[in-house]
Amino acid sequence: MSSAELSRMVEDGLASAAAWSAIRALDDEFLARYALTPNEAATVRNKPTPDKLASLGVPPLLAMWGSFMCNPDFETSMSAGEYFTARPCQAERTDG
Amino acid sequence: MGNVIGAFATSHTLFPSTGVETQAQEVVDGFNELGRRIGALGPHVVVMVSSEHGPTLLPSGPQPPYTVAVTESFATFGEMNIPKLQIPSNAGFAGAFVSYAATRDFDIASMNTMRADHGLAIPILMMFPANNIAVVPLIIGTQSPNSLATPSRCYRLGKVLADYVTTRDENVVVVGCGGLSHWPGTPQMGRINEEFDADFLALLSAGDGGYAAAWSNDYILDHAGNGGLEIRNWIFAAGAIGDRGGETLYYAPIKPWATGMSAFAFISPQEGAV
Repeated sequence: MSSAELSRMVEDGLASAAAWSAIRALDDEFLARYALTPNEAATVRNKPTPDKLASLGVPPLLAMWGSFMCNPDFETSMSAGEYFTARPCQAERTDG
Repeated sequence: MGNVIGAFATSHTLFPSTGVETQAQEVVDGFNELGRRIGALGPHVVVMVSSEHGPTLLPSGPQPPYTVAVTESFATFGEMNIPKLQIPSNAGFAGAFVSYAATRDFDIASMNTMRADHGLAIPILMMFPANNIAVVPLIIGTQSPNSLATPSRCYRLGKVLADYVTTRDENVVVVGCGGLSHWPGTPQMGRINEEFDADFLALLSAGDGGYAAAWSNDYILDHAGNGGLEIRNWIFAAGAIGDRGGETLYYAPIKPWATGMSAFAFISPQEGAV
């Protein structure tokens, strides 16, 4: 089983904030850049969890990132935001 | 002459506290205690040894066994609603360490930019909320099964760091980040091996980090998972401080977080001399 195109898509999402947003939005034009199989495309569009992406052959950590990008509920379930709301960090925010 | 004046280790993640409020507070308290102890030591530089999960060292590679960020500051990546900030660093210290290590049989990759994911950002921002301590990141790779540094090499590289620091003026604290047992993104995700975690912590407490350093990566993978490879960052810290033993600050196998969480304070040379 090759998940090369799916993995490439997730890695592009890691490399670029614009690509991350396009994956999150399930932007058809962006997704068309990747030769995803019908099964992969369906998985991406159905809020995958890491086990679903891993079952397609995506490496473990990329499966985590892919779930962050494609599944807002999963990302929320992994949020550390509450710890920084209660204890804000004393430095300027960046847009990086 | 500079010295490694302290070494610590900590898990490097945080997830929502809902349903695990007491255990989550243990983790937060652990970070607070580490920050307090490190602040009291007043280091010039903190070397944070962690893994990198993808934003900087993309999974397709290159995936060096060791990579040091040589920069005056670096950004946090900001996943998991972690604040996006610039963290101060020390390019002179970091670059000279890479050069020094090369004379001691360690070829370390360097990078001039970094986007620090949770593996560095959470411990840094939780321990140092004022964000006013120079942090030098040293990444021990976990992503490529073909380029994993052995635990024994990590232990030895910790000693090389300690030797390097004696050639400098800075006093340094080392923090190993990550672990303990967890299997992120794999079919075993959710598993925690409490027995393994207890054995590992007992070894460190007894000053037997060198014993754990004799484990193979395959042994760690089998017993602590792909995330458990991050205990090599703790083993590095043991090597850097002289492996004199220490104290587990807490251990919390948090099932919803799918991770054996812990923090550890190594005995420093100064404490050992008392």
